[in-house]
Amino acid sequence: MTTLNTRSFLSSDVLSKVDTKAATDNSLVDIAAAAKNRADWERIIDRCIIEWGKNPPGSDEDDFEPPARAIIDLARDIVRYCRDRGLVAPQRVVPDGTGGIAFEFTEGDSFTTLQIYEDRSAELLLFKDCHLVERYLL
Amino acid sequence: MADGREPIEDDEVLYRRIPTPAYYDPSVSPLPSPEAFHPRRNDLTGLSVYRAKYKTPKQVAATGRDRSFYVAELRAGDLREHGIEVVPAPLPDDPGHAELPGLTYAERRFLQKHEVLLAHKLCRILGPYGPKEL
Repeated sequence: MTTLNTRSFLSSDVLSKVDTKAATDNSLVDIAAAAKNRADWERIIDRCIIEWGKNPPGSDEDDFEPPARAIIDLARDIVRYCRDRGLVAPQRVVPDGTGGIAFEFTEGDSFTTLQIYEDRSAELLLFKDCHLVERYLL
Repeated sequence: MADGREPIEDDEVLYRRIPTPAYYDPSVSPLPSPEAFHPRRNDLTGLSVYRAKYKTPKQVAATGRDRSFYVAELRAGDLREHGIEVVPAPLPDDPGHAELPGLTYAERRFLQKHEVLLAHKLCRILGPYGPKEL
């Protein structure tokens, strides 16, 4: 989000006269960003977690393996954890076709994927310009 | 006449159907999900692709299906430059079938860097194509 820091346009004299206890521009931006992040996570809960709990995601492919209930439950717990900490939501949440779920985050040339595998293990992988730079077993 | 066993030239174009709509949505991102290149249970000897000299992208998209699909276009030489081999794997009814033998179901947890390369750097998305367009 782009904002103007209006305080930088004010001289110190004027600034001292207009200074208030009201929220600063930055704190308002933080609040707005947190609200957006929370709404994004809520959408993921509604569109993926709850929906997949009722109807596991499918595909026309014969060898597509949808995530089992235990994997969807684990994904729900992770989503709630991230939502409650105000983290940025992923761009995409998709079944991996082999019983797992992938959360995908993209920002510029950085790509991060949180993989939940079919055996309930999980990994976080960070890529920069398509090169794997960090990998964490969670 | 070629029967699909001839080597794949570096300038050959290959197609892979984006298997699930969730893996590519241009309103979400211009790039497909790397999961579109994640080997599945049947990819025991490699990830399936199709040679453009035998099939059009529309044929790859619509084979046996009744809805629209996107297709990823790849070039054999680009794959090889990044360490991803591609070999002919003709089937009795499909001489254009080929495989990426390094991307197998058994190795699926160690292929993310290849999947990200394929999705984010080496492919161009075509389509969508539906069965009515054949």
